[in-house]
Amino acid sequence: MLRLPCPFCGERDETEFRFRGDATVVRPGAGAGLDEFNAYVYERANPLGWHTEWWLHAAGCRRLLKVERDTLTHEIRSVTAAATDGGH
Amino acid sequence: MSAPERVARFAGVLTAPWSAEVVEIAALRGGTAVLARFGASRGEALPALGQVSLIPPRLILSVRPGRWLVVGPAEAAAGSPAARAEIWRQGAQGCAAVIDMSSAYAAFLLGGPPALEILARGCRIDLHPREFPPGSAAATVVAQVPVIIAALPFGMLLLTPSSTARHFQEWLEATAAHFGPPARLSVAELFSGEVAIPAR
Repeated sequence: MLRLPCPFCGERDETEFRFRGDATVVRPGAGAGLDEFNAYVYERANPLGWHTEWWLHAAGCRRLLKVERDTLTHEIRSVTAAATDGGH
Repeated sequence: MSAPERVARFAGVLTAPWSAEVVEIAALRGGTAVLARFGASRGEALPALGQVSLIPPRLILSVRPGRWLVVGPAEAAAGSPAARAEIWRQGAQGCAAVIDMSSAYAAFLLGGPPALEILARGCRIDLHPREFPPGSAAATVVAQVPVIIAALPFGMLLLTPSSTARHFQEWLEATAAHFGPPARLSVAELFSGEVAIPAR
């Protein structure tokens, strides 16, 4: 069972969170072509090892968190809030 | 004997569905300082994240950054929750969104020594007083539904969305049944300290 240390609520069970995908994806500029947007929407690396990802603490503080997680060992290296101020 | 002492001496489950009024105050960017000053001027200091402060007959808790829930008994004499929300809205001077959430939440109070064991059967956070002393508050999942838990001197306040309230109440009653017949108290009794614990 994966447990994530939320910076606001403390360590909580994975069931309280919702996975929101790869946090390293960058939206292409407005003038980018179809292929670039297709890659932005659909293509993901699925790495073995360290990965930066978004997790939403849906049943806790409802904050979006950026988590560095090892996809093999589930080790968590860092958890930071996406927004440090109000954020709503 | 004080209310917490009487509750602690009752070796059973105390439950009280609470017709509470709930007002949510959500600070906009940079609005926390204005809200804190207004709360202090009213004698209702806003607690830090993860804490609940008891200001009888109301309490204020914070389980989300920059957001507070003001929970109190629904009193016709003291004005509607919408009127109470309006007081905070004006005090916030445009620095917060203030919403009457009374219809959105159902409140329960759970007391007596088995309260922690009952909650432990459906909750994954550690509610032992060592980790979660009176004055603590948290938003988590209990019995697969979202629940806000606040530890009070006389027991636990549980807030769940209205849509999951029936399920949660049934789960609470079914789980509490293992610990003997529950004694129902009124919230006014708990808050006033005049707790008349029924004989068993």
